[in-house]
Amino acid sequence: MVRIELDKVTKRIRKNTVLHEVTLKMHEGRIYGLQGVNGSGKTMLMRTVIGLIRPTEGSVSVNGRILGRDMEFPESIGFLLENPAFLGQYSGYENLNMLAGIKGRALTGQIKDCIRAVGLDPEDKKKYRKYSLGMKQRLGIAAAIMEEPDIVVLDEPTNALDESGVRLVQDILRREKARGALVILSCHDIGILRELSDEIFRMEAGRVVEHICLNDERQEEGGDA
Amino acid sequence: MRFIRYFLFDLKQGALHNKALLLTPAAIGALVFLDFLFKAHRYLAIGAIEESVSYGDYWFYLYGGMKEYTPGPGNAFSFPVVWMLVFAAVPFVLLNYPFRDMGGIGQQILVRSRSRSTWWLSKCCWNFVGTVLYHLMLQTVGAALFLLFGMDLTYRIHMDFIRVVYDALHEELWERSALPLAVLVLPALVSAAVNMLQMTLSLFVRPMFGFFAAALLLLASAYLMSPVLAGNYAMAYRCDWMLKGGVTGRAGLTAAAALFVAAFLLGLVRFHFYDILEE
Repeated sequence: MVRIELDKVTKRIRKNTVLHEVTLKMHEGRIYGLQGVNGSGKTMLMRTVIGLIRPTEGSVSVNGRILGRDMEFPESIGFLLENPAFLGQYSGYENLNMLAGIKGRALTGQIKDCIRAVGLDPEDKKKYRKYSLGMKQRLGIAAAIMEEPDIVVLDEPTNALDESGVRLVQDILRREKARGALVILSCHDIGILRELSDEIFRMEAGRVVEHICLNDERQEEGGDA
Repeated sequence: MRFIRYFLFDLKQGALHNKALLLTPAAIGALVFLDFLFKAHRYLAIGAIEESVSYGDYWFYLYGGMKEYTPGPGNAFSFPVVWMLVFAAVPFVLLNYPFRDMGGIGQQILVRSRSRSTWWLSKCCWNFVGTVLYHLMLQTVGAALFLLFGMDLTYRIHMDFIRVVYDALHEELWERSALPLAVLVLPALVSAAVNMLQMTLSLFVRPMFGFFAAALLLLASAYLMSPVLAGNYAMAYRCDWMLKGGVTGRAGLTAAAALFVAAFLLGLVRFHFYDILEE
C-alpha cells in the first residue's frame, strides 16, 4: 500500500512562491492528473513528491515517512520529468540496464519487455543520441516503469509522441494503475488527462484551486485539497 | 557497493569520457613546453645559463608561480600567466559535470540510489581523481615531448635557469639540484582543494561564479604571499624548500587537507537541502 500526503507544502525559489500551501492525499491504484497552464506549479509539485526539491514549509510524506527527514527519496518511484536524458553513447537497452543495475530490481528480460512495451526494439544498437524526440520520450517512459515502482510520476509523457504513441502511453498507464501503482500525471491535453485520471488537481499560480473526482472508487480516502 | 558503482560511473562519464579534461592539459602542456624550450634555447644562446635544461626545469616552469610581489611605485604586478593557466584551467574543465549530471541521467541515478550523501561523496572523489588526472596528463605530455626532442628526462633542476626565469636574487634561493617528492605532489593537492572549494561554492551560487571565486583565490595568492592564501602552496618557487623564508610544505599539506575536508563537509550539508531543478 502506498500513500502520499502533502501537508501545507509551500516552496519559494528566489523569492518566488512556486507552491503555495498545497495539501493533498494520494493512494495506490489510482491515477492523479495535474492540470494547469505552464508555470502553474505542476512540475514543482512532482519534483517535491520525488524528493528532488525540499519544501520551504510543510511536509511531504510517503507511507507516513517524511521526505528529507525520515528518508531522502521515496523507496520505490519511477519518473519522467520534462526532457528525458540518457547517455548519448549507449543504446536504449544499455542505458536502462545501467540504471537497473543500481537497485538490481529489474532483470534483463523485464527491461527488454519494458522497451518493447513502449514500442522500441531492445536489440536495436542505435545510440541514444541518434534517437528521435519520440523515441527518447518512449525510452524515458520505459525507464520510469521498468522496475514496477509503487509510485510513477510522468510529466507530459505524450510530448513528441504520434497518435499510436499516445495510445501506447494510455495503455501503459492503465496497466500501471491495474498493477496497483500510484500514478501522478501531467498532460496539456485535457481530454487525455480526463480520460485517464481518477482525480484531477487543477493548479493555478502554485495553488491547487480545484479537486475534481472523476472516479468515486475510494473517494472517501481521496484528496482533500 | 552503491558508492563504488556511483563512483565508477562518475569516473567513466566525468573523467575518462570528458574530452576537455584530457585534451586541455595536453594542449597546455604542449604550449608551455614550446614556450619553455624557446626560452631555454635563448638563455643558452646568450650565455645566461650554462647547460641544457632538464624535465625538472620544465616542471618548475609549470608550477613555479612567481616571486613575491611587493606593491610599490614602478613595480607593476606581472601576471603569472603559465601558473594561472595551469591552475585556473582545471576548475574550469571540472566545472559543469556535477551539474550536468544532476540535470540529466544523474537525476535518475540519484533517486534510485536514495542517498544525497553518496552522490556528493562520489562527486568529491571524482573531483579529486579528475584533478590528479589533469596534472598527470599535463606532466605526461611534457615528458613525451622531452623524449621526442631527446632531452634530459630527469627531475634535475638548474638554479641558473630558475634564477633567470624568476628574476631571483642569488641570496633569495637555496641551492637545489633535484625536485623531491613532497614538492612534486603539493601543487596537485592544493589544486584539488581549490577545485573542491569551487564545487562547493557552486551549490550556493551559479557554477560560473564558483569558478570566478576559485580564480580570484589563485590571483590573490599570486598577488600576496601569505600562508592563508592557499594558492601560495601551489607555487613551487614560494615554498621554503626553494625560497628562503617561503611558505612551508607541511603547512601547505595541512591547508590543502583542511580546505578539502571543510569544503566536503559544507557541501554535504548544503546538498542535503539543495533543490535539484532543471535550469
